[in-house]
Amino acid sequence: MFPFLGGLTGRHPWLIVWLGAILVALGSLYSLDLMQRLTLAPGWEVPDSGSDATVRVMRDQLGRDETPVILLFRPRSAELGDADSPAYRAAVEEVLGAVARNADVRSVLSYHGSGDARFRSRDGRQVYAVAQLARGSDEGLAAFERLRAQVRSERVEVLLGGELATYYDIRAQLEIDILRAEVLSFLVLAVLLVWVFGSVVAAMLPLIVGGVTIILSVAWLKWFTQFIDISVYAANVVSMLGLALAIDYALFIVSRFREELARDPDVHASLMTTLRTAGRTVAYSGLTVAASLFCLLMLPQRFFQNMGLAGGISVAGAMLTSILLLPALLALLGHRVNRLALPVLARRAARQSDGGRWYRFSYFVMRRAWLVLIATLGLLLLLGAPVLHMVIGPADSKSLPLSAESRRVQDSLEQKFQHADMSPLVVTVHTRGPVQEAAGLAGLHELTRRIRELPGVLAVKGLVSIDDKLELADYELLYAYPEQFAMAAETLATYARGEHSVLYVEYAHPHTSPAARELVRAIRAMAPPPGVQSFHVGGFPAFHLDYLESLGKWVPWIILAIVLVIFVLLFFMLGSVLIPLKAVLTNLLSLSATFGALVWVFQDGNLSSWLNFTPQGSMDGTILVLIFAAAFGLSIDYEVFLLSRVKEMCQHGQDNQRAVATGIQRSGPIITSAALLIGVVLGAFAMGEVVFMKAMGLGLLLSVIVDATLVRMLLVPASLRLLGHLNWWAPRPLMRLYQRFNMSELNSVAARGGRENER
Amino acid sequence: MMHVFVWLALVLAVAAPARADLSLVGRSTVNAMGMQGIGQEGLWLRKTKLRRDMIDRGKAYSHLYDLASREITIIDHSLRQARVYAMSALNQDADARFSSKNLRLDLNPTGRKHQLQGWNCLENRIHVAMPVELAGEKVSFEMVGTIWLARNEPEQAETAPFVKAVQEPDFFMGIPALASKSPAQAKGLSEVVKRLAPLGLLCAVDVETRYEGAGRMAELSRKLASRIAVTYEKYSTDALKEEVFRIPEGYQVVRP
Repeated sequence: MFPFLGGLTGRHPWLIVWLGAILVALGSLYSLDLMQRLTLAPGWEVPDSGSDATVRVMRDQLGRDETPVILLFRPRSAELGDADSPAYRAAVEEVLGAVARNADVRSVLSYHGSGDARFRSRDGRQVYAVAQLARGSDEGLAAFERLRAQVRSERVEVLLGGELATYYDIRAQLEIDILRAEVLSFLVLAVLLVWVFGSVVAAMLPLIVGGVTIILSVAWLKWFTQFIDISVYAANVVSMLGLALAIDYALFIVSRFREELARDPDVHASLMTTLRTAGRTVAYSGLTVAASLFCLLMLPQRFFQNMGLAGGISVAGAMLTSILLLPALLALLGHRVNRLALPVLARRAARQSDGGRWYRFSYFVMRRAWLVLIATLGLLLLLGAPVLHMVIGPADSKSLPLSAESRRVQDSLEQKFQHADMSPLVVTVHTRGPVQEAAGLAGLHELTRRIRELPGVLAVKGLVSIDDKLELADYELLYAYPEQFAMAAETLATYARGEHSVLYVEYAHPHTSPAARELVRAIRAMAPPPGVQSFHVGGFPAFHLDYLESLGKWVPWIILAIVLVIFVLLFFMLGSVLIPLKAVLTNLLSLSATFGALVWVFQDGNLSSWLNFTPQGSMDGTILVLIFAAAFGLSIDYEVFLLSRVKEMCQHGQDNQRAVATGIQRSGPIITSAALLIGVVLGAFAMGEVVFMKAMGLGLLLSVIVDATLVRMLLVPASLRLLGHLNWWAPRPLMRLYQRFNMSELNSVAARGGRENER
Repeated sequence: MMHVFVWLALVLAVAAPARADLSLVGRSTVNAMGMQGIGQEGLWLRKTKLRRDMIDRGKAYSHLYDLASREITIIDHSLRQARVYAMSALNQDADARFSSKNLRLDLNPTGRKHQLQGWNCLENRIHVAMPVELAGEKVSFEMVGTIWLARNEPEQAETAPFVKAVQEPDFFMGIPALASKSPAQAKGLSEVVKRLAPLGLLCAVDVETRYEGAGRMAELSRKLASRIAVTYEKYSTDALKEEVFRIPEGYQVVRP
C-alpha cells in the first residue's frame, strides 16, 4: 500500500494538493453551521438507569421538565437593612415580580414568599429564591440566559447559581479557555516548529497538516450529526486532539523525509522510503490511537460516545492528512523543504542529527538494565501511589474559579446559610391504578413513611405528606373530592397525574457526598409496598451513582478492548508477542503515574495555589476516562515511533543492543520534539480556568512527559536489553500470520539502510 | 382557599373610593395545608373598573373586573394569556344554588384602632357563615377573625358609583374557577361583598376559614383550617393610565 501511496503522491502531487484544497474548501463551507447542529446537552445520563427513568417519567408522565435556578440576593448598600426590612423586601420583590412574568419560569419559592428561614442567611444579610425553569430542548440554557438578563436591580445584587448555572458558567469559561489555548498554542507551536526544524518552510508543514485535519474532522463531525446527537464538547476534542496528533505525525514524516533527503538527494526515492517507514508507522499509530478512542463508543453515555467518535475522527483525519496530503506537499517542495533556514538553528539541527548523545545514553541505560528497570518501576509506582486513595466524585461549581457567579452562589450557600442544598432526591412512583384512589394512596403513604424513616432524611414532600395532622384516611377523603379544597387540587396537579406521582426527598448530606449516594441505594433497595407497581430514584446523587456504576461496569471492558486492540495492531506491526505486552504494561504504569499525580494535585490539593484552583476532594470520573483513552493512545504513539525504528535497525542486521541504541538515537530527538510540541498544546489547555480543562491538559501533559522521559528513555531500552532475542519472538502460527500480513516495505528499506550502514 | 383570598381583595376594592383613581399596595399571607405563602398585593380602581395583581408561588396573575361591561378577565402573565368570562353566565348557575337569606354576617367593633396614612382604621370582629355542600355533605362555611375598617373618611363618599354597581341584581364577583366548582359558595361570597361595600374602607383583615358540621368532610376541613391575612401598607390617588385596566398587547384572549 505504501509504495503505491509513494508512487501516487510522487507522480501526481498537484492532483492530490488540489483535491485536498477542494476538500478543505468544501469542508469549510459544509461545516459553517456545525455549532448550530451540535447539542448543548452534554449527554452524561446513563440510558435506562434509575435516574434516567425518573427524568422520563417526570417529563412524559407528569409533564414536569424543570430545572432549578437559585437566585441569591445581596444588598448593594448597608442602608437597605437586613432581609426583613421593608426596603430590602421591596427590592427583592421587584426582581421576583419581573421573574413572575417570565414564561420560562414554572414556579418560584422565596424567603419573602414563604417565610422559610432556610432561605435567609444566618447574618440576615442575604436571601435566596429557587426558580423552576423550563428545561426545553437545550437543557434550559436559553431560558437561563433570558432569566439572567432579566434579574437586574440597582438596590440588590442578584447572583444565579445551581446546577444549570454552574453548567452554563463552565461552558462559557471553557469557550474562553479553549479559544485562548488554541490561539496561544498555535503561535508558540509555530515558533517551536521553526526551532525544531531550523527551517521556516519545514516548520509550516505540521501547522498546515494541523489546520487541514481540524477542518476535515469538523466536516466529518457535522456529517455524523445527521445520525446522532453530538454535544458541543466534541468540537473541542477535535481541535485539541486533531492539532496535537497532526503535528505529531507531520513532525515524524517531515523529519524522516529530511533525513532521507540528506542521505540521498533523489526526492522520489526519499519520499518512497519515508512513506514505507514513517508513513507506515504513522498509519499504524493512527489506527491504534483511533481504535483506542473508538473503544469509548462501548460506554452507554452519549458524552463518551461523542468523545470517542470525535477523538477517533480527528486522529484518523490527522493520520490520513499526514500520509496523503503531506507527502504530496513534500514531493512538490523537494529540497525546498529546507528553505528559509535560520543559520543558527540549521547548524543546531545538523549537529542534532549527527550527535550520538541518545545512542550513548541508551548504552548507559542498557549496561545497567536491571538497576534502571527497578529504579524506574519504583519511581513510576511511587508516582502512582496516590491512586490508592483516589475518590471518584462529581464535578460541581468548585471546579470554576472563585470569581464565577455560580461558584460565588455555592460558596455563599455553604458558608452563610444553615441548610441550603437544593438538589432533592426525586422519587417517581407508579401506582396500581390512579394514584388518588385508595390503593395508590396507601402505597404512596407507606413508601413515604419508609423513606422518611431512613437516616439522613429531613423531609419527604409529596401527595400524602402535606400536613402532619392528616392520616391516610384523611388523604383518601381529600383526594376523592379535590375540587372541594382548592389547595388539594393544586397539590394533586403538582405531585401526580394518572398512575404516576412524585416525591421529593430532602436530606442532611451535601448532594455530592457518598452519604447522599448511599441514601439513593437505601431507597432503591426497598421493595415496592402494596399499591405501588414500581418506583425510580432520580436527582443529582442518583444521577451520579448511576454514572459511577456505569463506569464501574464498563470501564474494565473498555480497558480490555483498548489493550486488545493495541496488542493486535502492535503485533501486526512488529511481529512480536512480548513487545506489545510490554508496551501495554509500561503504558498502564505510565498512566497510573499520571493518575497518581492528578490525585496528588487535584484531589489532595497540592500545588493548588500555584495552579490557581480549589482542591476538589475527589476526581471527576469523566476526566479519568478521557485521559485514559487519549493518553494511552498518545503513549502508544511514541512506542510505535521508537519500536519501528528499532525493528528497522534489526532488519538492517544490527544486533539487539545496537539496534536499540540506534533506534533510540534516530527517534529520540523526534519523540522529544513531538512531546515538547504536544506539551505546548496540552499545556495551553492546562492553563484554563475550569478544573475539568486544567486537569485534562495537565493529565495529558504529565502523561506525555512521563512517557517521553521515564518510559521511552529508561524503561524501554532497559526492558528491550533484558528481553534480548525474545523481543521479536512469536509462536510459529502467529509468526506465519504476521509474515502473511506484514508490510514488506521494510525489506527494501532494509536493503537501502544496510547499504547506508555499510557506508 | 384562594377563592377566599380573592374575595377579600374584592371587599377591599369595593370599599375603596371612586372619586379618583386609587392604588393600594399591601401584603397577604395564606396558611393552608401545612404551607405558608406570603405575597404582594396590588389593587387599582377607576370608577367601575378594578384590577388586582398578585404573585402566587412565583407566578404573576392579574384579575380585571369591569362592572359596567360585566366581565371578569383572568390574566396569566407568564403564559401571556387572558381568559374573559361574562359575569351573567357565572351568576346564573350560582344564583339557583344560593339564597341570600341564609347568609349570616356579624360585625362587632372591638374598639382598637390603627392608622393607614390618612385613614383611621377600626378593628371589628367578623363572623360569616353560609350553608354550602361539601361533597354532598351539608356543612356551614365559616369565616371568623378581625377586619379593620375606616369609616367616615372623605374618600368614602366617592365610592357611590362602585357601590351602586355592586347593588345591581345580577351582580356577581368572584373567580370563575370557584363559580364552576362551588357555585353556592361563590354566590355567598359575592353577597358578602355586597353587604360589606357600604360599610367603610377596608384597611386589613385576618380570618380563619373552615367548614362546620358533623360529617367526615367537616371533620377533615377542621384539620385543614386555613388562615388568610391581608394588610394594606399604603394607598395613592395618583392618576392611573388606561392600560392598567386593559389586557396587555400581544396576549392571547380566550373566551371559555
